[in-house]
Amino acid sequence: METFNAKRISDPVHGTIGLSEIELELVGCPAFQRLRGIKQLGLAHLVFPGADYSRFSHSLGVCHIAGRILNALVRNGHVSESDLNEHEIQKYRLAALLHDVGHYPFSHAMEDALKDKYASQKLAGPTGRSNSAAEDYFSHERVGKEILAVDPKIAETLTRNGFDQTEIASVILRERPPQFANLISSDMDADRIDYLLRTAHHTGLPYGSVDLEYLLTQIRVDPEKRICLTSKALRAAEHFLLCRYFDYQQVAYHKTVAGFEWLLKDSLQALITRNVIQCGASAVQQMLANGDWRYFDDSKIMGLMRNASSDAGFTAAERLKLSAILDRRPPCVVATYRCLPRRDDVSTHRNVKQLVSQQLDHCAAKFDISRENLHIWTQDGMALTKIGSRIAISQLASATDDQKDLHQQAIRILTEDGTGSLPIVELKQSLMGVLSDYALYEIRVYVVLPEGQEGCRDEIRKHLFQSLNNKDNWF
Amino acid sequence: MYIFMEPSQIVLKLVLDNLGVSNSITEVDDRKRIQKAVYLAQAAGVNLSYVFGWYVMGPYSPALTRDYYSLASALEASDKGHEGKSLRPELQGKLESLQPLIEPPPGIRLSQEKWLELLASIHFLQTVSKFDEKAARAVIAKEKASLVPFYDNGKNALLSANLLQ
Repeated sequence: METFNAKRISDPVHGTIGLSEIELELVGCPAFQRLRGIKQLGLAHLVFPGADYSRFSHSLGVCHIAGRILNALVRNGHVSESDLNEHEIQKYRLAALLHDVGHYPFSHAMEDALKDKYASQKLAGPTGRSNSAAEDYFSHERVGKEILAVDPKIAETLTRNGFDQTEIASVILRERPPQFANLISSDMDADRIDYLLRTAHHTGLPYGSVDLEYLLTQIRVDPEKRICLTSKALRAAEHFLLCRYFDYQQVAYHKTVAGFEWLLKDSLQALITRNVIQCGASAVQQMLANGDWRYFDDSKIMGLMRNASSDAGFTAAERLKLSAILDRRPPCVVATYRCLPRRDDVSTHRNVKQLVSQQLDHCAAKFDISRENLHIWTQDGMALTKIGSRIAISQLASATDDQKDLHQQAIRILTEDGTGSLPIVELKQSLMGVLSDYALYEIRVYVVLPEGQEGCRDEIRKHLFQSLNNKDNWF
Repeated sequence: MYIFMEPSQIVLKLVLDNLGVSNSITEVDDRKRIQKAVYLAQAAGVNLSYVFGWYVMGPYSPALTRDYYSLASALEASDKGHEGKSLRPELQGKLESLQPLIEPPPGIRLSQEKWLELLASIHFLQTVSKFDEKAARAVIAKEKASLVPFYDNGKNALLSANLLQ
């Protein structure tokens, strides 16, 4: 459609991305331009030098992929143009374009730190009373909704082009029963597809060779208006899920990336606790009103971290973590526990974490280091699919309503007679049906030490290994 | 002992305790009960910053799902981070006002989780989706036919708790 090619942008992942006039105007708004300053992968670029792409380019990619999925549905003849006319396609593309507009600097690390602070305020003090009023914070989805509601340029652009900002927000947040149940959120939605392709391109890892062209030819809608694939695309869909699994393991959960994320979250918490960063709901509303939100990005936070790293008002452990990020001195992994049990058996490994914690308390005392310098990172049952991570295959036959929420998000395969679709893990011939019955459980013990004391880590490792059980799972 | 339970998990545990809702997630109905109870707690002014969208079962928050699985893992690992802690009195008061809604009224032959699903769904459709009553009823009729006969009971319960106007 020519409407969506008013402007063409070169993109390293998709080649050329076409944008409509309204999309082009929105991309020019300060709230969208701000996304150039928010890295999609946080501190992963400290490990993969090219992995510093922004939520700006990702958002353009998600808009592009969403458009391609919608066009494919019409082209493949399973949705009529009256059901999915140009206005409807534009609505979904706008939701895709704007879905990340509310992200904080450093995205999930910041949000996790905020969540901890504002949850703590919900608790009563030691006497059962509380002196100050509890404040709330906004999740990034809620910030996005706020931006759509109050940003004058976005509101004016949408209104002038016949769109209501609440309508776009309601698509992003699923505030109304959606026309297509799993278009916005599923195991293989536009967001995840662009993420995988873009991350592979920028890290140089080989997990982005997804057969997107073929998948788009096989995309359909089942009688319950769920987006699904024909059975011919089963292998391509399984390949996508395997790529995604390896991408998480090799990028987000890479030992050094995960180590830096620990330091980042703790550092952000230190800045938030001292009100160096103010991100409560009212502070965000104020930033949106006075325009400060435009420059509230990763580099702004890095500047605050630089100042804090030499500020005596922060503890030694906090300054150590700040400088470790700024000088790229990664924390070390001194021990790793890893096993791949059946999903139902993951819980039998959970007490390991508590046992390790006790040993770390001893380590901190024995080696005279702050307990804050030691960290236990856990991957609590990572499986190949959303369903796989929560529901045992053996339970699928008796799945009831609650599980349908998760089923709806699984990649679905159209039945041969076209009367319905099944989650990919339910197909007898599916590799996922077998592999999704297993989940990776992993514990890593990290330590960050001041310069000159790095040698201590070998002694910590030795001490830990002497005291641990299940030595076969440790290395 | 170093505590792993994050503040948000501690608050979730205390909210469920205050409402008299179990934190068990073993059964499907347990998880549904938690989703809908927390949705109603937020509607009553106990803002835990969960964003709920409309899914097959009505209001559902993926972030809450992550938190109750993490809470379950922490409790399974004998983490006692919640012990000795309590919610702020004003939040306890709001949850107390919600308690009459948690169990189905006498004569309503619905399980607790179905009742909570009905309340949360009506509230979501009328306040978040901003549907009028007729449109909200139509969605319930289409997606949850077994709950339609109890629509008025649910609506009246929400009105009596000042959760609907």
